[in-house]
Amino acid sequence: MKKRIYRTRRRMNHVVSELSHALLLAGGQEIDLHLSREENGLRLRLEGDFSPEHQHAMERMARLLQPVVRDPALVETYSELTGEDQYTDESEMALVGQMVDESKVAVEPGRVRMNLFLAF
Amino acid sequence: MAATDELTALRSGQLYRIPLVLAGLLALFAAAAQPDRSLLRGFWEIQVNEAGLITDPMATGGVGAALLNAALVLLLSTLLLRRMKLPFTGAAFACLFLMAGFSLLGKNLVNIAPVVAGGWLHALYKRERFAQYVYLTLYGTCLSPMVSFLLVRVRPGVRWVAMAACGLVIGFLLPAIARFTTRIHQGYNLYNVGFAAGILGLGIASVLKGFGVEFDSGVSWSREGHGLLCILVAAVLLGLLAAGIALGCRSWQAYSRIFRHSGRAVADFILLDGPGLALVNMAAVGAVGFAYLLALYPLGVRLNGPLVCCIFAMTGFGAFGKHPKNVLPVMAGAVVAALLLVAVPITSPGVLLATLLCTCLAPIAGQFGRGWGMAAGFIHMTIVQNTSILHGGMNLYNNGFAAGLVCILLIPIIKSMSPEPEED
Repeated sequence: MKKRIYRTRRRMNHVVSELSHALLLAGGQEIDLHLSREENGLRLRLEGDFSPEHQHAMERMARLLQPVVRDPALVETYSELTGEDQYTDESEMALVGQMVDESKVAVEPGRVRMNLFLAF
Repeated sequence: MAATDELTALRSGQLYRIPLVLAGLLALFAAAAQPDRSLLRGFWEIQVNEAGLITDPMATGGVGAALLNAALVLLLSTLLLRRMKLPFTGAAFACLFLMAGFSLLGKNLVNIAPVVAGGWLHALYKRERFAQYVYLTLYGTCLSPMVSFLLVRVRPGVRWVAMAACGLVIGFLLPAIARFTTRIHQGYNLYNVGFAAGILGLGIASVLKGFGVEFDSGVSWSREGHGLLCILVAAVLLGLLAAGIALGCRSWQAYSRIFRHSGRAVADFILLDGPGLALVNMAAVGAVGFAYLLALYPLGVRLNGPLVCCIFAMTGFGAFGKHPKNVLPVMAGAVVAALLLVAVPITSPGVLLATLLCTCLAPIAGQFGRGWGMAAGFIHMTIVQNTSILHGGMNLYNNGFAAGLVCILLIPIIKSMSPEPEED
């Protein structure tokens, strides 16, 4: 159990890094992050704004964060790639979508709300 | 409607039928190529003979036997993924096409088995599901020539123990190394496990060389079955194209969306754009490799196991990072290097393989532009000539190893010379 907490914590750090990076890049002025430890995992609630011209990109991000299928082998192979590169690419966001176990993302004009869960 | 078809295919796991159909097609062509008992005899020869860079199983056991070997390796790999309940994403397609392809260049049922068992032991040790390590384990079979080498070269009493131990060690260690190496090249080398395997292979080969083992690098290169293999490759590519069109990619406008991706891992086109577009792109990328080889026909190039392997590798990664726009500059750079620098002809086996497999550096062209892509292909062609000797020719993904070194050399330079992206 201890080992999985370590792994989940590391992955959550990647997720936070990637999401805050994406929102700041989309012109976000204020991002609220609320990270909590629950019995079976870590939950991240995120709310932030973004510039209107990034509306389509944010809707695209929402789709990538809520994938139709999740591939655990893909995550194990490539999870180290998230949250480090200075260049933006939606492939990293797709990987974040694969890493989280549950995700709810709502995009409104100029505002996004997320509820992401990573299990231990 | 098309989008609904795509989602249904992805959710229900219907996509796994595609590699199964490919396995059936390979078996059918195997029977057509060697319709007599020589098929099984050749198949056995492939299992118990040495395999490495560059060994063409079509020269060892015949065209049909090599295709049968590829069919069975692909079938078992597909069933393994299915058994693990993994979705058939672009990563799965890339992995399976690489398994099928490299069964025409060194992998066989006997030499991959202990490596897969080693990967399973790794998962057991980590107390994780084996499903998480399946791709790393299957890719890790690129070091299977080392298993075959011990099977053939070690004295009879201990050869099976030696090969099993070697395979288990490879399968056990490679996932850890491969996860680490992704950070080194940052996703710009699509054949990541090739890089990791090159490093592990270097370590194992160095130890064995210390005990007096000599790795000789003989090349076997078949020139039979060109016509049949052309029909096979054309059938595979047309089949993928038809499947992609059926799943909704029905116009150039729909297809050209794929060019916005740099291809840097993880560019899983099935997850990003849906299976229809990904399958059409697989056909397109495979066609680039196929067309290049056909263009060299007047110079004496004929399809064989290793070259079909390269086409399958390109095709598979058409679902995971490669598209014509990012592979062509890298290939162009490699061809220029082969013409200008390398003291071997452009039609020599190693150069042909490098020209097609250097496309694992396609993300560099996709991210930083055609010029850097060409530079990557150029440097790759020169470096790859000198990497095989490091692991004794035991790493089938030698181009992935060389590509990792190209990334270490090139990526920091590119980043230091590129301006920071402009932001609001």
